[in-house]
Amino acid sequence: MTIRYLLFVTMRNVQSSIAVLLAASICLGVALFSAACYLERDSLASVYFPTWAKQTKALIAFSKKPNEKDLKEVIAKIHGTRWVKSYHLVEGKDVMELLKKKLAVLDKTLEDMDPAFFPDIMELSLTDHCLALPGRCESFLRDLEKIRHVASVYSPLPWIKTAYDKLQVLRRLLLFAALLLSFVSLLMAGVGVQLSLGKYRKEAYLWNLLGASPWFMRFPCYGQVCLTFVVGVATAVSFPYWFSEIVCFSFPTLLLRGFLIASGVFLFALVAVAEANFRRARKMVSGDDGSWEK
Amino acid sequence: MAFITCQHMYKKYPGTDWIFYNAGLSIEQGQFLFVLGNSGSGKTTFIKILCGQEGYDRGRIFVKNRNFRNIRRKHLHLWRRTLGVVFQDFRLLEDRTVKENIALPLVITGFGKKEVIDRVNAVLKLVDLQHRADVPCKLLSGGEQQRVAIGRAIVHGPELILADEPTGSLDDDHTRRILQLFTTLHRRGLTVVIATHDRRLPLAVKGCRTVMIRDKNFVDVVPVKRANK
Ligand SMILES: Nc1ncnc2c1ncn2[C@@H]1O[C@H](COP(=O)(O)OP(=O)(O)O)[C@@H](O)[C@H]1O
Ligand SMILES: [Mg+2]
Repeated sequence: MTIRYLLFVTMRNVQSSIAVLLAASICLGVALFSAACYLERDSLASVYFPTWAKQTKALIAFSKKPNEKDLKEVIAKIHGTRWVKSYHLVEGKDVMELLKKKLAVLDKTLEDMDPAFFPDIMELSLTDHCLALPGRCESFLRDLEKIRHVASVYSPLPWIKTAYDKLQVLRRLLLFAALLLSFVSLLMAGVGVQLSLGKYRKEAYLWNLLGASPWFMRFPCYGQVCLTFVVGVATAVSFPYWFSEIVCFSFPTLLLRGFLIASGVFLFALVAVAEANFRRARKMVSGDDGSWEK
Repeated sequence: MAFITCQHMYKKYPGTDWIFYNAGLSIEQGQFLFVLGNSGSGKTTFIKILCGQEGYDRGRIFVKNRNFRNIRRKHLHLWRRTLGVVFQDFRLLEDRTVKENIALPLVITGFGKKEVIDRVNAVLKLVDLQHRADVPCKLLSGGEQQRVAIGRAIVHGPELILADEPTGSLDDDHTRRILQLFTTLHRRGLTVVIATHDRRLPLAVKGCRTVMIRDKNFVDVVPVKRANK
């Protein structure tokens, strides 16, 4: 009964300031999203990289057909590192077949060639870490070149590193947006609480007189602010989703950690807003200011 | 042990003269007390002080030997739960029904649904408002609103009833009924304090005590008619 009554009052308050609540939520959502992206410094790149870029591959070309021992050495080097997801060996003649398929025009020329001319190639599927830290991954790959019989390692990482550096500008913009919007959303959450205060001022006054506990008095303020938070989080989570749908980007699972951090900070700030407004409200409803006109 | 003791109480509002000046009053547990006084003498102010709505400037008030200032600071809501206050201006939620108004003290202190319904129905019967249970309070007459206010004051089983002019808007018949109701509650062990300007009211209650606010202090008086006997 008590809970139902409190929910009723809270929902009625929310109704009276629904526009502000929505605006505050959306602001909060965008702020949360920006903050989360900013906090995910490492994975920011992978958040924004399209799906095809996430299937980044590097190629190890051998100068001559590697024997068991050579392969073992290479595999020992790459196995279990954070950079390489999987690997498989493509023999020279398969490389030739592949090329034949792809480049039908050159069929004749390829026919005449010795399969041994094509080097064996090891194909490495790279992890998201490589996207996040292309510089370090690249130097790891360069290290592989020192192994015997490895002719060279090809990777798109230098290119990705350039793109990643460009993304730093975006990061700064996001930080700016997060700061601005967080401020706006907190302000608006406060306005929402204050707007609805008029609606239940008399009621809260009576609660106070009839011995409602401090938590009972707090509930509507907190409920409203928490609702803002919930809608804000929903906005923030769905925002990158829709964003990625529209621009054909993929869903950022890595966003979660930064997201939790940002959410925690914002929840704290919102609770502070609720408490501040509650204190104002309590001043208004305790003591007799003689405004109980009929 | 007195239930409530006021010692050397001083009270004034900003910009007014003293309402209470060195006032002293002791209310025993289970007492039926009338506080008489002309209008503007400070009856409402006294009630407001007791329910913690107004502070007092100097002096001490003890509630069951505990300093009221400490209660006011830390446990005001717990103290208010033990009170049943009938406000002079009723203070009802006008767009809520009679039932909802009476249930309010129960709802905000977390009573269960069944208990709320049972108690509200019992109280509706006591204040003779069963037929108006689902009417919004703003549609009621003054007398009916007063009875809703009284119902709300007794529904949660308070220890102390503070009633400010509880019969101000009632006809003789309902005045008698309400006094009867207060007497019944008093007999069950409640302490009842009724502030009124109506000097005939104490005559209707046997074994009550009457004090008068005179010269900014409380003075024990004997109701007129009994003195004539
Ligand atoms: N909030 C207030 N501010 C200033 N003066 C007040 C206030 N409330 C009451 N008073 C004054 O205090 C005096 C006592 O008021 P009150 O206790 O309401 O009297 P009663 O209930 O006995 O008629 C009156 O003169 C009134 O004008
Ligand atoms: Mg009065």
